[in-house]
Amino acid sequence: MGKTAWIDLAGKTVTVQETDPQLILDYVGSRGIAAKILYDHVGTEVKPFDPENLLIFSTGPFTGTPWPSAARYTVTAKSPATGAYGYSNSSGFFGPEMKKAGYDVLIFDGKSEEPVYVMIEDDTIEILDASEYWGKETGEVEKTLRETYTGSRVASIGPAGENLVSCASVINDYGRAAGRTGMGAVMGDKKLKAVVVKSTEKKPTNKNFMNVVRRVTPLVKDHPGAKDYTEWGTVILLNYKNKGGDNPAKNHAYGQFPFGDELNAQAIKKYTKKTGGCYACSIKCARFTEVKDGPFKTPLQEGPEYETANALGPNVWNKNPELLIYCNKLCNEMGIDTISVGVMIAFAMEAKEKGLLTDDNYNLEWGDADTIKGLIEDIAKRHGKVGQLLADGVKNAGETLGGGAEDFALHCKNVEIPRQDGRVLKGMALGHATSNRGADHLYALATIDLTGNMDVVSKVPELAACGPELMDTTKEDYKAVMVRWTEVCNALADALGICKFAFTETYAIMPKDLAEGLRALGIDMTEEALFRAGQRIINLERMYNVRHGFRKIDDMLPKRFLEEPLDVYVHPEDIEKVSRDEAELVHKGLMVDLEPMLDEYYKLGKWDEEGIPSEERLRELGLDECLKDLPQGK
Amino acid sequence: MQIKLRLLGFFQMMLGTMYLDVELPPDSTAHDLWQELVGRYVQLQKEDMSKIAGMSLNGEYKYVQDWPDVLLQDGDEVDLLTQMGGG
Repeated sequence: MGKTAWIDLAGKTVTVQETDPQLILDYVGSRGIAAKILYDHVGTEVKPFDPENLLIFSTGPFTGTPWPSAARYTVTAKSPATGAYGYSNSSGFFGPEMKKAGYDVLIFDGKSEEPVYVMIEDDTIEILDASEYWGKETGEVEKTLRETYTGSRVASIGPAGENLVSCASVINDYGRAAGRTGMGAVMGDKKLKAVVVKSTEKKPTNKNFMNVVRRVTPLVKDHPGAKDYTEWGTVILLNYKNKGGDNPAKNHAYGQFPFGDELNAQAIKKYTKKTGGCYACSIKCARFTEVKDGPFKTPLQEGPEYETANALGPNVWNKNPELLIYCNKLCNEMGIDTISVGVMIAFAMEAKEKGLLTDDNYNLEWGDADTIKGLIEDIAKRHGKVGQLLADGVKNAGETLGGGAEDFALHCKNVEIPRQDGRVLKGMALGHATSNRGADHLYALATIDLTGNMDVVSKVPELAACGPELMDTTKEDYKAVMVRWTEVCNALADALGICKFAFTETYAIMPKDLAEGLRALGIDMTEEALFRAGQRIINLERMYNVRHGFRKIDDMLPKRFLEEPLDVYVHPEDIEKVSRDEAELVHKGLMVDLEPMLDEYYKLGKWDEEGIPSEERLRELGLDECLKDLPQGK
Repeated sequence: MQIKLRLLGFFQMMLGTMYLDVELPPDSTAHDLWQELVGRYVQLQKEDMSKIAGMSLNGEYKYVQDWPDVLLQDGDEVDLLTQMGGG
């Protein structure tokens, strides 16, 4: 077992204890344990920017081990975006270094009066003055700290975190982000500029564990899906999503981008100087890009990946790959989530188009480079009329503008919609809606239908029982069954500290393999117990939100997906050139019928019609401590 | 001979159907099946989608480089899919 460190930023004290082994058996690690700590210590009376809110960095049992793609750590807190549960997950090398230094969990409590950073080297934890770093961008902070502490890894915030922007991220390894739900803002509120971790002690190899690793690594590495990510990175999704109607453009007015030939994987490849991967990764989906000169000159950096490429590409009607690469870097330097900021900018552009918003600094026209890059910085720094409007999230901006703007403020639980369109992918629609941390593609990663993965369907009885309709991405049938299964697997990926590309993207390895790995580490869990722990995490997170008053209405999708039909064009370049009646369409008038999916999802999970876990379900999962938080009469 | 083709994931999304019965000459290969689809659908013509396509023949995965050597039989069930989905 590793250690849990409680770091009081106000009192400047540190308490370290062994991580409770029962916590690992119940919640596995990382996202799971952090959810439990948040549940136990941050109640409804605590606001996201109260000193009593906790900021929790956590690793999983596999993080930092040779398990394939075991690079991930989670940042958890009460979210300034959702007002309730929040977490984000990042890769790179920071998490493994934290684990190698001996830590399962770092809990940051209280608020420092002055900017600080926390330096951790093995058993030593120091809270140090960060005044010289405050106000600086993440790249400079990380570079300086890594030069100061040779061999260290750094997670830091940028101006967005310092300015408490609702989508502020935590950046590690220069270009890896714990991007979602505003964890960077909680860090900024605590005046915690950076966390530096360094390990010097080498751990002995566990032979039993290595035997399992040797067995499963080829399964991950040699899977055909992994090979595609190795070859292209995730930006290849731009290409075929554009053919299939899932490359959202103009704030989801369209599912395809008419300039798909100008902004696609091949276009970005021209700027790609090298490829790479995170710790212990055999897939290596990372692309490193550079723009050598011109107005969007950008030094070598990691990314953009698909979500960013869409958010700051088609979604804002940008067809210039150099502008996209520049903005990817700018977001990382500002410490702001690329998905959310892209949705915010698209919202502002649509508001301008509809006559609801004007600005003296930017024309807010679709695709305008000055608007896109200017607003990224303005939002991060809460500058200007539009920057201030957007800095607390698109939901807040829609309500502030009014006049129907609420309808095209695209979010769930005040977290901006990621880069899928639920009208084409019904499983994703349900996943976005029900995610306990707000709109999110990775929470459930319901892509079994999208990847045509009949292999996993054949291995999982409840999926096999659905029949072929499960695989029809455009139909609602059986998507609740898929999401109920995939959300648990993805909770386990987060809890174990492994990348979803090495588990739930392909299911090249299955929960039984994970349980075998845990047992080799001395964590005695059966496959069934592990799966149950995943369900426990989902239900505990749900109860955290229930405690904060969340109900079915909070599992809703934006009106656009429910009431505005989406067409899929045979020729995306016809968009805005050929009338709908004359265009050749593959699919016509797609919308999401969410209610039946939600009802089935609730029923399958033994939740009531308001999305509240039943007493029976909580007892089954050993979550008796949550019973007191059930609404009266439940 | 007739092949029962199931279009999954992005192929369903981009071609608008999940099921196709495809008539092919005897001794056709998986590559011939792909070429038949390319000829039939303009969506597959602009860019070589076979680079990221997978084919499952009666439940057995076939890599694109092997398609020219994969002989099809009358009544074979073929799934066409891409193996990437997440963002």
